[in-house]
Amino acid sequence: MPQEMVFEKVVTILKPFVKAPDALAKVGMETTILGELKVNSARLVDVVLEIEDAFDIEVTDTEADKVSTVGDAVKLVMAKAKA
Amino acid sequence: MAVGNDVVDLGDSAIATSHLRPRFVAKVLTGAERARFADAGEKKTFLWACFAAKEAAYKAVAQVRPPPGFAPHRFEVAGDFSSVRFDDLVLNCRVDVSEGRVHAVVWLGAEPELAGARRLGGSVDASRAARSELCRGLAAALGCPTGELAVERDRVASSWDGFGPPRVELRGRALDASVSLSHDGEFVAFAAQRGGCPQA
Repeated sequence: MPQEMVFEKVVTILKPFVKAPDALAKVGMETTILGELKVNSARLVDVVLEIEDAFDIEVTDTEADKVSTVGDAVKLVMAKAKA
Repeated sequence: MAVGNDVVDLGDSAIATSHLRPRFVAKVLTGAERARFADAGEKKTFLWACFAAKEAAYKAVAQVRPPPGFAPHRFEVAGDFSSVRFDDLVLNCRVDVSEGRVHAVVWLGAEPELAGARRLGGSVDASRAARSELCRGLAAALGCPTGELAVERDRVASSWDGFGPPRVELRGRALDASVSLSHDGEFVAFAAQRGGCPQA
């Protein structure tokens, strides 16, 4: 799947959890999920589970540990999908 | 000296069924915690008490070490909720469940003298409300006007949310205190642990 499609899909997954609609309007690879999109940390588990389901992958703690931005999530999905 | 706190609104519909989803529970709880979860009567409260304790511990750890990422399994909550272990650190913990919310406070060093959680009234900026609560509590403890206190957060690229822990300034000068803010759903919460603070 091309990176653009993964990006769109990740943003679609994040959308219901975003508390900062203004940041979502200009979301990019560098946008931070907690800091800028203001996704509540209590909802992060749901985000990880939805990403796993949408891309048919499994995200370990160590991998989730390194995801800060939307781009990090996209790159993680791309890497897992290739594996 | 380091303190973290976290509040979870148990009435939030978004978390209504999380405790019934094994994959969700497995993402949050360690093996030992899952064993206790299986025996717990109030599973929803147990799950979110553990979650809040881990979140609070994360905030405290981030004040003394490079901030860890989002890794709930690296934090293990003791069976009696009196401590949270992170690698070689054992942090003190207390969890309060009341009024439809869970509030966890976790600390290293002296027990925080200020901590609280309250339900927000009406439509307000939760982040601002949490800061106001903290400043009100600190102002009362210091005997200074609330307006002389300000809460700041510096940008820290390596942090999960892009910011470092909050810090308090009194009349523009750093206050010797560790503080923590939290909000979720209808609730805001704070905790503060003072060092050798300057008197107002």
